[in-house]
Amino acid sequence: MRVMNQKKLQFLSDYIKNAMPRVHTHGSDIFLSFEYMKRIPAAYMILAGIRTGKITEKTVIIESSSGTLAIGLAEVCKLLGLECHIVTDPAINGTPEFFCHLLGAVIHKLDVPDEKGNFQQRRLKEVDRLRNDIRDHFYTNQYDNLDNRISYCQVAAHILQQIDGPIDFLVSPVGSGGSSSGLLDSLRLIFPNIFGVAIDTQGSVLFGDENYERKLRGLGNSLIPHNLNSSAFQRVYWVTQDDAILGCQRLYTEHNIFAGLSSGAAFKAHEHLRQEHAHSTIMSVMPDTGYRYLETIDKEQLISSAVPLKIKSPINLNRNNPAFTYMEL
Amino acid sequence: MTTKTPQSIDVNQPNYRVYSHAGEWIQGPILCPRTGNFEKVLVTLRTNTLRTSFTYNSNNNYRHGKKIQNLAEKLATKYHAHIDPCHFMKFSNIPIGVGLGSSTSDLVAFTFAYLHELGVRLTHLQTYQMATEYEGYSDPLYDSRTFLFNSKSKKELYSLPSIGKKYKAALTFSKQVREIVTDELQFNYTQEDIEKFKMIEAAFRRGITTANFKMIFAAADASAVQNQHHMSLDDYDEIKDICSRYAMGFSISHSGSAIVIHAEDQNLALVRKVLAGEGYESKKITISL
Repeated sequence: MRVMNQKKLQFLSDYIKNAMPRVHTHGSDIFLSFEYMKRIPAAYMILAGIRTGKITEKTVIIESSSGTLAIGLAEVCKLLGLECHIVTDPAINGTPEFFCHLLGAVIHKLDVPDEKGNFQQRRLKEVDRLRNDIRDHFYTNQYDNLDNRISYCQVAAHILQQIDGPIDFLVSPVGSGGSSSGLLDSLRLIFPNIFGVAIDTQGSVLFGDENYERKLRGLGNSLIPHNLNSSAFQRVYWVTQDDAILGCQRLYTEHNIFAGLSSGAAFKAHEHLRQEHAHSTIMSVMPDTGYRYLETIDKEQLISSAVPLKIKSPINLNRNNPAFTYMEL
Repeated sequence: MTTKTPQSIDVNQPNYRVYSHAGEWIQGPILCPRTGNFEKVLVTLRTNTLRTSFTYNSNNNYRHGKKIQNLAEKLATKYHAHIDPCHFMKFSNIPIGVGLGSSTSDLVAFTFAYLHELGVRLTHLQTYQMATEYEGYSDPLYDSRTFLFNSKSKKELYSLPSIGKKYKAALTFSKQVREIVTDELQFNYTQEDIEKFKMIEAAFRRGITTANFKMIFAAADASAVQNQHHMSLDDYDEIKDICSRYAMGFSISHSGSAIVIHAEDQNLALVRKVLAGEGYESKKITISL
């Protein structure tokens, strides 16, 4: 069994530092703008696996991902010379898939969703199959691996080095629970009164909706990950794909941050909170850049969208009534 | 405390097993509201058991902290004798790094063992006094005056007048654990604790560099809260309440402390130099009285 040399481990620590977000402050609006947020847990989970001896130079890395975690793991594995297997679905089409191929990751792409229209359960079954077939493997398991959540302590430290006042609201898209719970848990140590705002989407079970086909990807889930501490949040917004696209447009034109759909969803909630709380400090997490989404969204919609905020309260979750809605938790 | 004559060093077979309990003296004078005199009070806390261990080797090859090293050298000088190499394992329910005397209990335990080996018989109080005398000062923050101590010699550097009651506070700040490098740390701390210590330290440094008192206090509070999971919240609040109501000051862990500097202009440059020497950047601020 060969262990990693120190130089490679240092590369990994540097990789995490280089993946930290830009902290945009516009008055009392703060936006954490990542290129690919999940680079951080990807590297941290691998680093933790190496430290504990679970990953050696011969270990095969396995994960289920359709987005930026796949890119992060592929990059880290390329850096360390590890074999990487990504179980995914058509949501990875385009840039992420291209990057993964470029980095030498093995893609296992499922084409047929389950009866609910989602791929999550089938992807996890495929992960199980791979784990049975590959003896020396390490399943990073973003949903249940605590190191995913812990990695965001470093992001919190990065933020705290750049801000001065207390944060009143933290708005986070929620998927694996790693960034949302990790950041909220960490920042709450310093700012105990921080109000946690979760961003979810219709068809996601994370905050009580039924499991059905989710149009907006990059957030939400069809299972409850162990990394999610839902009781830490005080409010949840359910955001549609259309509203997320509109949020992206406004985020760029008003704050010059060109970010992805989950960021647009977070910005919709950010705007709504700003209407309610004119003087509070609101920090929103922008998990990735928007370039890859240009391949799939209707650019005409981006240009012409002058749609007002659609708010429904209290929540009336219904798949026949998809709208921008929220609920106090 | 039970002891055994050391024959060889084996970390799994400690020569001394020491049991240390929270509820020992809280360091620092406590002003008794009834008599107006300074007294020490005994507070009993319910905490989880922590484990630390260290090896003492009389040839100066120490595996323990500087405080034990200094104490051992002073005891050797005083009694003209070394004790044989030995290994200590301490089981304590005093949380580390929250100003409740966990490191002092190390010193007291070591002194007990040392004197036992030499056949010197002292009362518990005499032993305690000897240990704490050799430990030197802690890093107290006082209500009415801020004292700044050199963290190495524990020698008092400055006694600075306070700017008033606006920022009155008793703080603890813990930054002692940066990496889990020993079995003992593995036993007491998780990787999540380490990451949170680093995060709190980042907040503390930001508070210092921008002279943001709220951030400094928030970091100090967070530091205490982070350690607090070793003890019951109610008890911890009780300690804080006692300290804030009656104490002229209370000790802060030697492993790291939050230092809020209330300085007059003529002292400021000197204070900032000392802070820089300790690795902290500082920024001049002006507060209206």
